[in-house]
Amino acid sequence: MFAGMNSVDLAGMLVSFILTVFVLLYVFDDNPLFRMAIYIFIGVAAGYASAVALKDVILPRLFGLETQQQLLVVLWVVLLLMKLFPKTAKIGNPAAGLLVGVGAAVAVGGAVQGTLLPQITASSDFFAPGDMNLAMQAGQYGSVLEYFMRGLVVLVGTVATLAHFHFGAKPAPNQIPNRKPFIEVLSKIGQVFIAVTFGVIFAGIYSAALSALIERLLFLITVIQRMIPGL
Amino acid sequence: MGFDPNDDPENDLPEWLRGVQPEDENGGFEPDDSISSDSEEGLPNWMQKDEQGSFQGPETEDEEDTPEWLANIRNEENSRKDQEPPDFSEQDDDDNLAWLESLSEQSEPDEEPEREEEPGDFLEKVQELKARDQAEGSWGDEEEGQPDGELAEEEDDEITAAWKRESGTLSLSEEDDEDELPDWVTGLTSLDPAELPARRDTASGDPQQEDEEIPEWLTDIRQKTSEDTKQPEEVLPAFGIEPDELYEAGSEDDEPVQFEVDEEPLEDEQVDAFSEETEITGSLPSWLENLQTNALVESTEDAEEERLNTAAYVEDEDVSALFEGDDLPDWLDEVEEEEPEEEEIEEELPEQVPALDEEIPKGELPGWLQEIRPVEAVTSTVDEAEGEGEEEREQETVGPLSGLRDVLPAEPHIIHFGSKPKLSTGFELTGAQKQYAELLKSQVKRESASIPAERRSVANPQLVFRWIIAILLLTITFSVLWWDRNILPLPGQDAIPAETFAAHELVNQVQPGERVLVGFEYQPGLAAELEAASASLLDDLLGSGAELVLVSTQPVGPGLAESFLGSQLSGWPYISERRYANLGYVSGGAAGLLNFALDPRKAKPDMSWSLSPLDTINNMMDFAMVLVITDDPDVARSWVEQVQPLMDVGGSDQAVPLVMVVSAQAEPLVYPYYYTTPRQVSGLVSGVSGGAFYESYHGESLARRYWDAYNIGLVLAVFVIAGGSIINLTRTSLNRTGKGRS
Repeated sequence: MFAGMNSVDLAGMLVSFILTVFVLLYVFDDNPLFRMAIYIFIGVAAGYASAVALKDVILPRLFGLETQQQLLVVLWVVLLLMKLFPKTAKIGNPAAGLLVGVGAAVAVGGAVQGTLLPQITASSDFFAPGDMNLAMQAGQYGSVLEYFMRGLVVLVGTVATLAHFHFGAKPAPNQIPNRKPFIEVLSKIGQVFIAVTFGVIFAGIYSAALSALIERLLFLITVIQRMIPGL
Repeated sequence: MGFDPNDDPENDLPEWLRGVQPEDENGGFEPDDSISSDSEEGLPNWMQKDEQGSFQGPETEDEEDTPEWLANIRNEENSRKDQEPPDFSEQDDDDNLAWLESLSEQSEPDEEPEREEEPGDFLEKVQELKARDQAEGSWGDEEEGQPDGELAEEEDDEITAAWKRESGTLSLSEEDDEDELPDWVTGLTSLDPAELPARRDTASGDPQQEDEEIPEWLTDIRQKTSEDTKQPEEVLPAFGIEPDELYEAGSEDDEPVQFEVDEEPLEDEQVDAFSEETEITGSLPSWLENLQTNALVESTEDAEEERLNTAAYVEDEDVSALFEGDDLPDWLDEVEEEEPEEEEIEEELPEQVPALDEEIPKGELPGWLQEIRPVEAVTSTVDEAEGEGEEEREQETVGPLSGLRDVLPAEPHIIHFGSKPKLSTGFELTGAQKQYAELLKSQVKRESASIPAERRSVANPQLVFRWIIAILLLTITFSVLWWDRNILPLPGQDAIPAETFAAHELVNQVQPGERVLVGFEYQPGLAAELEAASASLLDDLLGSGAELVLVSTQPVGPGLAESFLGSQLSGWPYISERRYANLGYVSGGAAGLLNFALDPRKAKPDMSWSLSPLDTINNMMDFAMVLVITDDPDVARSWVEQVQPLMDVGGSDQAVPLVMVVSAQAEPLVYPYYYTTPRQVSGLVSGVSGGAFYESYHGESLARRYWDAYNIGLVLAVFVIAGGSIINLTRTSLNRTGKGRS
């Protein structure tokens, strides 16, 4: 039945099978079996992450560096541990501040240079006259039109989506503040783009979940077929 | 009534008083010897004392002419003065100087020559002046610029000065007093000091002689008044002073009068305040004793209205009694005739005053009335009983005025200083307000109370739909997978997306032995999707001879990588022989990733960088391709933002391509990076569909096994969404129709 499998693999397979069934029981609403499976998963994931951090980060930093680097690392570790206690939390502020500051600087700098500026450039490239002229000279009018329409969609979608999140309104006495009609129209258009985006994301989530379901069902079928060879 | 001060008063002065007149304007009071000898002899001892205290110069000159008895008195006075406290002697001098100054004002320098005229009866002189003024009709005209009060004072001073002049010629013996003093002057001794402050020191009059001339009824009034108000006649014995001693003090030369202060009258607190001063007065001259005692007693009795009224009335009577008889000047008789009211009072007094002798019996309240008396009344009654026989005046016991007497009570039974007011903390609420308060209280209590977790109730139709969808999905998917018939073919190569095709081309460009960095950045939950999408790509890489370097910023990434390679690609000897390098977990998120991209060796110092395939790796440019397998768009963005710029240092031609295999849920957010110029993501494979497209070029793999179930599941989802939308629209339309009918 389970020929060629060692006991560890067999135990792992059986546990995986049982936990998968427990998770699928969520179809019948929240139940203890589902909760137990979730608790086991969270606990195992946390334990595994801790083990990985100890193996790949802490131990190499403690014993794989030079003495001066080790002292520096230990100092920062001790300062961060001070944050665990309210009385000594202020001592750990420098280390925490360094982490937060460096993280923020890296994230902001990367977002500007790696996302914001390239995306602005890419959106404007749809209306680059040089490319248009080259396509026109080549007689690719359809490509020019397609290129132009894609740029127009990107432009309208970007502007309309930004207009939807524009909540500025001029106050009027004894009246509910309303946005300008132009902004209101753009906001409605932006809602369409946002709805499409959410739909695409939902489809991707459903697709990913469906793939996970298929994999789990395939695993169950495999186990069942191994348990019941004639099936 | 008035008096012309411009008239020559010296004509009215008795002869004996002319010697007292000062010689110069400055009040040097240096009379010539002839006059001074007369004056010194005629002056009573109190007057001599004043002169001694005020004017030391003349004293030495007059000592030679002083008779022996007067010298003894002076010595006695000096000896007393030495024993007296200095402050009190000053007070004595001040009191004496007051009337002496008034006396000196009467005598003007230009009148001095007239003083030498023979002194006649000054009263006759006054009558003559009065008659002359009446004839001239200038009494009021000449006094226009002078107030009436001042005129009255001047008149009194004139009389006092006349009396002094008259009394200065008298000897201090009793016989001389009785024989030589005018009757009206004798009556002055009974004047109340308060009424005639300038004459207080004229206590040398004989009370007995006074009593002889005063009517009997008025004497009774005086006695009664003295008993009640402790007038000088009564107070003096209280201080151990007999009225006769006042005269003996002036006549007895040998021994000073030692006054025994009786403590009994000192029970009054007001008198107690001056007890020390009273004791000091025992060594004072007798006339000053009398003066100060009268002043003290007077000050202690101001608060008693009834007694004050009585005293004032008696004082008026005393004054009027002075002018009774034949000794009164004629002009004073006329003045009295102009005041008939006083005569009427005098006639009525004998009938009314005796009633003062009798004590008014205290009323007795009936029993029933005593029971309903207010507490204050009982308290006051008790206080009166405690202070029976004493002069009890209400004394403040609380508040800032505690200890003071005769203070206007500020609602004493309402305002209680020092006592804590009993404030009620509650509100007077109506019934409706109480109901509102209870309602609010219950609402607040409900808000603070912990609500037990209610079991989520799902509507039956929704729960049925959930079961139906689950059963359909599980049944169809399970059936497709169970039968494994490859119902649906893989997509054709002509339909492959450009990003997937680009990824395929980039993988095929990897040369054998080149290092490919593979980032396993996904969670176990989506491992199936990403393994299906990347299995053929990794197989393609392994087929091209690339050497893999594995890394992950997720703690579970290295384990998933090992599991994936061991389960799906274990057929490759490269994998089974573990010739790839798994760098493991890189901590720090985006910062850690940047750190790793900048210097992989420092980021992972524990690795064997000298061994293959890491021996040629110093930075990101040393990799032939970077493949990132992730389900998180944020992680994909971090790779694009932090690592991709370091892969494009030498220009777009030499840039290291970044290929991503992402989950279907991250595709919309990663896709824009593919459409940038230059492309930040060079190739993209997303989800099972992307893997299936890639397998169309590479050959069937894991995506093929999922492809039928995956497509049937998507179709089922489409039908479920469409069916749900139709049902929802039908339900809404039915509801609207029902509302329209109703």
